[in-house]
Amino acid sequence: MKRILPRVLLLATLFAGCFLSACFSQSVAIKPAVKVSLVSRLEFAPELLDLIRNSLSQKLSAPCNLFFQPIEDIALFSPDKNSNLILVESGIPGNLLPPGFYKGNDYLDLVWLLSVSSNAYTKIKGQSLSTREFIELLAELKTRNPHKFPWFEPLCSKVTMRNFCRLFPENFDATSSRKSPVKPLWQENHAIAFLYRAIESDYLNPWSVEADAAMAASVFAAGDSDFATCWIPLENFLQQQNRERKSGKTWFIPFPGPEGEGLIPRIRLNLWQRQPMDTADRTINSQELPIASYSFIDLDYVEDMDWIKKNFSNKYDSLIMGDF
Amino acid sequence: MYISLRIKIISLLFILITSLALVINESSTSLIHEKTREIFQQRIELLCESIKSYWESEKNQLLNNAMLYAESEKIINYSTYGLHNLLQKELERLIAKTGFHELEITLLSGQVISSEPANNRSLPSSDPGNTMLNLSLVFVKLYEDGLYLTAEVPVHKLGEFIGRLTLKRKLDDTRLKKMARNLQAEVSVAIKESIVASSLPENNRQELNKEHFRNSDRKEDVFRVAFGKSVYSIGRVALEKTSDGDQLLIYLAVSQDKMLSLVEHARSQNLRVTGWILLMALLLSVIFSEKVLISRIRKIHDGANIIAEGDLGFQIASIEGDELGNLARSFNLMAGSLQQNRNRLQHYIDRIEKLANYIQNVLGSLRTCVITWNLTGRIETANPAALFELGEFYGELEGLSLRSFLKKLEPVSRREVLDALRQVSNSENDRQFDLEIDAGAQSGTKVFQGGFSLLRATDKKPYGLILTLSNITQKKIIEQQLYHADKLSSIGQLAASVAHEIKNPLASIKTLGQLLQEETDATDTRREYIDVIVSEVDRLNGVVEQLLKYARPEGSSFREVLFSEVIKPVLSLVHHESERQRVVLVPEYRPDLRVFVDSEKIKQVFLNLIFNAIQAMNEGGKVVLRAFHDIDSPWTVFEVEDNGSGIPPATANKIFEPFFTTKQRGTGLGLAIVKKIIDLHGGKIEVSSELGKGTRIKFYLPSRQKG
Repeated sequence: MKRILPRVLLLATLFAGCFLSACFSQSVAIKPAVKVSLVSRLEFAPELLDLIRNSLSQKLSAPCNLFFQPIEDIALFSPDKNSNLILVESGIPGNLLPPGFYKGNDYLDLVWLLSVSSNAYTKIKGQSLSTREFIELLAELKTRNPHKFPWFEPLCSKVTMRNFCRLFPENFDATSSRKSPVKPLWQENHAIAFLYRAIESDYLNPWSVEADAAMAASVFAAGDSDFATCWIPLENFLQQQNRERKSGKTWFIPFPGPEGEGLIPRIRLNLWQRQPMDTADRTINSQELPIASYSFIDLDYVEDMDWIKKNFSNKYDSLIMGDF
Repeated sequence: MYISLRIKIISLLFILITSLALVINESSTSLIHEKTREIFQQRIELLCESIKSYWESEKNQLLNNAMLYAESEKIINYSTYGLHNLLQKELERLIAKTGFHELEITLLSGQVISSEPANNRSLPSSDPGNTMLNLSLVFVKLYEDGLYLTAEVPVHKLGEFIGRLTLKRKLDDTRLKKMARNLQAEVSVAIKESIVASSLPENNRQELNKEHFRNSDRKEDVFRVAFGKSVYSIGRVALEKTSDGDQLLIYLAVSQDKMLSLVEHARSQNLRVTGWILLMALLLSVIFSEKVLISRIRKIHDGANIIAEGDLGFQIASIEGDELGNLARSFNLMAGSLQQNRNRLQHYIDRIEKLANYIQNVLGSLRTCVITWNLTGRIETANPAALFELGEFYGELEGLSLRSFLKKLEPVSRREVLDALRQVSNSENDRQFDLEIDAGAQSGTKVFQGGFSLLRATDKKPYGLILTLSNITQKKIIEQQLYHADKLSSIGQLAASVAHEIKNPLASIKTLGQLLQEETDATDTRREYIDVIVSEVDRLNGVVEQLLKYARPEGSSFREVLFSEVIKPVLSLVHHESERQRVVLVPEYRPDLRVFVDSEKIKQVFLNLIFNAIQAMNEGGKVVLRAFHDIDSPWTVFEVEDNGSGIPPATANKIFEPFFTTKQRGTGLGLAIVKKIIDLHGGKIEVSSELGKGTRIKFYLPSRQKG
């Protein structure tokens, strides 16, 4: 595997170069900006879009202006003639996409992580937290600043709720049944209870239940919370591990598991284009990603959407009412 | 100095219009000034009223904004959920660029979150039961850093009080400048003894501060204050008291500069308009004066020139019914009158000219010289006879003074004239006198008989003198000649009788002398005495013969002969004598010259004259004999000219007298005989001589008249 990887990367680089230059030449010929449609269930906060733009721009290695058009419901997607690229969440059936687009070999992985403020980072020193350590830290921060809620979550976000409900059972079941096709659904309420108790304890800002991802990002960015979950490109997460934390920079850790570092929910955005490609799959990142040290939960679009459709309301109500 | 009528009229119009325009301009400017000041007063009063409303609206606006912010969902949520950083950013965002100074929320917990991060603080937590917290307030408060208008409103979430929102607006210079822009008046705020904020410039603010400090009553008022060169109308309004109980005063200042500049602008505009009007008036005046006045005056002027040039029949056409028309009519009347007068005058002039010509002709025809002197003593007129007779002697007569006239006369004549003048001036009686003048070599001496008369003007007053002179020279000459002829005739007759008595004794003496000669031997010493007696008797006999020839009335035999037949025998006779005396005889005459003379007598004339000429030249010389017809006269002229010693002037007029001689052995009868023969021919003889140069004897004999 290690022998093959450089060749793959080399080919990927060459191919990506040809592809991007072709795209660029097309885009330049038609329009100086490249419009990228994002077809995903995620709520793309401005910060996330900036990260995706950075990753994609580095890959295009050209000063293209990328305009993103997030589309939550694929059924409503009708690309115009200027849409040359589509980032489509893995799991969305290809027949739902408009004709004339072909799945490429490039993709971008997004991971769901817990953002840690610089204030909290001084406590954890970059280490992963267990659930208990996380609670203790929240309590300490709350004590230090009683007027501030140390944690904020975009609980109005369906995907966030789904992630919590998926993550908690997975984390608890990580050691025994990681590969079991049957998910331990009965443990989802632990997540709701955890969140509820956190709100009740004034650790988690109660306004979280009305906040979406953008709001949560704003609150965290303003320093009004020390923790908040968010989606970031996998490469950004992996790159932070290789460098010293700089002052003011946000640190990302996997959401705490019972015994420490938990699983990392992950979705993949595949790049679709108007011309077919016939090469091996590769990430948009050309760097070698040190992903082996982390455990990911590859989220399934169909399954998750089905869960959201059937369970989100109940879970949300449970969170509000405390009925779990 | 000549100034054209047009310039006078235009200048007058210009001065009139300028004066009128200036008066109107000044009065209109004063009116504008007064009205503007009145409007200013009203405006200040209106502003004083308006500022209260403005102040209320300012407060209401602040309160409304505070209430609006208090209802902001984000502010409520951020406040409720402890998102203080977001809250602060939201507060900052809300009042960014609004002009509000600070927005802050005081939460129940005592946390104060402000748009100014430095003002974030913790206060003691509030009592939620305190109903005062639910009141909305607007008040003014003076802080160390300035005056603030503050609005406080409660913030509720779902009806539950969560804190109080405070919105502050600083009443600083910037705010007041904005107010000033809205009100279009400078706004200043004073509390206690000083101006705390003002839209005025710093120096003006200090002046206002002094005024504020001086004015202790702090009542509302309208007054004027000079800030440097600018004058401001100031309105003072007491608005309300601050939260500390101090009276808040607003000063509204409106610069009168703009008004004054507007007035000045209006004045200059008026002046400019006036200037244009003046210019137009000037142009119109020029056109008007040219069309209406000057051209018509020029017509009259041209007419006057035409009349001046002599065309008195000229009449000005197209006469209009105004003053210039009247002038033209008068002009035409004047021209008509002038024409009539001119005709009459011409008639008189013609008559006068005729009379003058007549008088001139009379004076010109007179042989008597008439000379008039005016009272200044200058000759005014002299008739042609006077010019002819006296011109050579006096030169230019006209203008000659009486003094100069007299000065040139001989003393005797001068005395005569002066006596006559004196007599005329005294007795006013004319006195005749004789005047002799030497008129030069050509004319000789002229003798005049004259007299003075007084010249009187029409009013009988003396106007000058009239001198009349009649030439009596010929008369005098004739008188002399008559006297001379008479004298010669007496001498001749006497000499003839004496000669007759002498001749007989002389014949006896000669006969006895000849007898003695015959009887006396030639060697006898007495014989010489006898010969002298005989020769002297012969000489005496010759003289007697000549005397008898002179006195004897002889008959004449005139006939026309060639002159050469007359002169050649004479030349032969004198040939030996001339050679002996080395005198050359030069006859000059035409060979065919014929003369009508008694040739024997004329031979005697030439013989006597040539001998006289030869005898006048002791050392030889030349005698020229000329004879010719004078075409312009009836005379044949003969001349005998020598270059001898000449005749002294004193003896020149005596040479034709008998027995007058300058020679030792002359008889003094030669030239007397010549004169007699010439007279016998009806001619005349003249002598001109110059001592040392010679003498010319010129005589005229009548040519034979044809027919």
